[in-house]
Amino acid sequence: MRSLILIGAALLFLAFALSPFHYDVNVVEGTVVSMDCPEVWSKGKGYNKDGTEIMHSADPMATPDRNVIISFHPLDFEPELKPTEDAYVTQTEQTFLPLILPVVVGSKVHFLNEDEFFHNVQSHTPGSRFNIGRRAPNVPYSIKIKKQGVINLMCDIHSHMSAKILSFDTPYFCRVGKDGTFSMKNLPDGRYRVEVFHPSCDDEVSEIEVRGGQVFKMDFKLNKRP
Amino acid sequence: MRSRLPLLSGRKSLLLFGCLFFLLGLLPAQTVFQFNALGDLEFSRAGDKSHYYYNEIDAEHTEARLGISQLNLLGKMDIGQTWSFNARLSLERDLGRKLDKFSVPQLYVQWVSDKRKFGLTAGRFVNPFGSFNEKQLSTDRNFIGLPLAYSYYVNISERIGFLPNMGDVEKIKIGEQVQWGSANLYYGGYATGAMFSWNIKPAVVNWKIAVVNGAANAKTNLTDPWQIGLVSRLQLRPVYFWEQGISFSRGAFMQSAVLNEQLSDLSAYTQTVIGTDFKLGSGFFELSGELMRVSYTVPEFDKDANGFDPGQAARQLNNLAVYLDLKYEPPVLPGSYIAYRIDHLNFSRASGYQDLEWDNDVLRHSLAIGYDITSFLLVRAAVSTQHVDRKSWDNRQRTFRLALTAHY
Repeated sequence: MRSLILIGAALLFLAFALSPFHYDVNVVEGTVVSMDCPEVWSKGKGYNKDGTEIMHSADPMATPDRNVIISFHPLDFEPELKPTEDAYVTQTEQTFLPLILPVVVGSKVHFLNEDEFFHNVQSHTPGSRFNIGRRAPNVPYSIKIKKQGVINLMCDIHSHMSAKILSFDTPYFCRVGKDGTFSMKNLPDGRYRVEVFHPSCDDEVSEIEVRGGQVFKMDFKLNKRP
Repeated sequence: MRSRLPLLSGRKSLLLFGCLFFLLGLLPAQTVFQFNALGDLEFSRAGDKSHYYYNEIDAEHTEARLGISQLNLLGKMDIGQTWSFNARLSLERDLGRKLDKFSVPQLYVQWVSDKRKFGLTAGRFVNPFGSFNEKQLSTDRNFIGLPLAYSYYVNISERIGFLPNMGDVEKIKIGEQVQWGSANLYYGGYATGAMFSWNIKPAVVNWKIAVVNGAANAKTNLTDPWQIGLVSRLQLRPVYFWEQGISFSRGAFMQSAVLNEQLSDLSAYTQTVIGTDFKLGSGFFELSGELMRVSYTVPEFDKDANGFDPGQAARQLNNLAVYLDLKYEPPVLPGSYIAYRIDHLNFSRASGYQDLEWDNDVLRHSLAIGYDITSFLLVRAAVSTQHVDRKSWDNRQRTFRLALTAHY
């Protein structure tokens, strides 16, 4: 009986060791500091076409510092891509929330108007043009994001409203916390191109190699976009 | 409106603009600059009976043309959370040709309370009357977004009041300027004064009231003599798909001129406008419209005496104006739209002139298509036709426009 248990355990170990899904998982932690970047983000003069006073949400997710995204793009292997779930962009107090939404390419993004009046969502980004028309409050409308890259969103009714979808070819990305720290977990062994996206700062790109199930440190200092 | 005149001369305006920005730039932190630049490139063609005041294409310049029609530079400087300074510099073409009409149509300081419940604005700002009050930019000029009776003149001048037939057959020179009547039916786009706004229920009920320098149809700042006007607008949104506006404006509009030297009190001659506008939307459709009644109290011109008779009672002139817009954005071609407008102006008979209608009725149809090539580049084409004074449709009144608008 004892030998049977031992043989079984050995077989399990071998199966795990030889499994194609076996890898060490690594963690990358660090901080992002933005230097002199604008604290508000709005484009255009912001005339309200409907004649009402312009609103701006006080939600923290409307501030650039809460919309810093770090993505890790594998250089040694093709990652398995699964659509991002619950990818929502709301329109609240004439503000897109969040300002930056990261998703895996091929995901469905749900737009939800939380104001008491019409909103619209349009994209004029080549390869991902769409217009969802005037949308009633609290009725979500979904669009499948087929293009990889940055997709610019705007509201045709309130010209000061804008946002971006970051459509990634990698499942490894995270949002920087309000204290400026991040922790990217479950990174398989390998080399990665690391991209930092800030709404009003210059993008930052670097590389890192992670192996052996360890914790790695990365810090970024972003400068104001010229 | 394109027919407004500069607040100051070009160089002075530029200097003032620069000085204000410099001085305000010395204020403490949290100062944010925003700039918008707009440029229109237009190809247009019109019938030989075209008139700049009818359809923005002057009769002497109806041939095909290509040129920049407008450049704008907008500046907004936030000073802390509650104060801001706003300016717009504009370079427009005159009578549809040269790009040499520099103006600073907008220059104001604004205070808004916490949560934007209340606002105070002082300076030169967008006239709060009517549905056009937030649409003064080129990016909104998708033809269908233009105001009622755009560029249509009314046979009343802010300088010389009412002269029968002046707009049609008579040309009267004041200085070097030929007076064709006022270029605007009911408002000049911008007004100078002070405005109070109250967000009674945010996004549902909004009210604005302004004390301004003259009636809404005044094209310039009235200083000879100073005139006064009152403008108010109540904006309602009963349900999410329905917006309704109610506007009122009353003010004096006459300025000193050789022809009206006999008139002692120019402030007695006024324009009163009552209007309502609506917008209904659903999916890719939008229906909007506006209805206005305009009344003028004007002095009567005596042709025999070649002047106004101060002994005569003031005359009342009225008109009704209405338009209806239908806009559709085909979902199969994101960024495109097709729009149709019908607008109509009806003028009453001039009291005291038995068989005279004081201006010509107009019925106009317009059709426009547009496409956002990118988020900063809009191309649009429009045709319009109209008949004036109930005469038959006339090819010579038709227009075609193809415009490319770039904005940042």
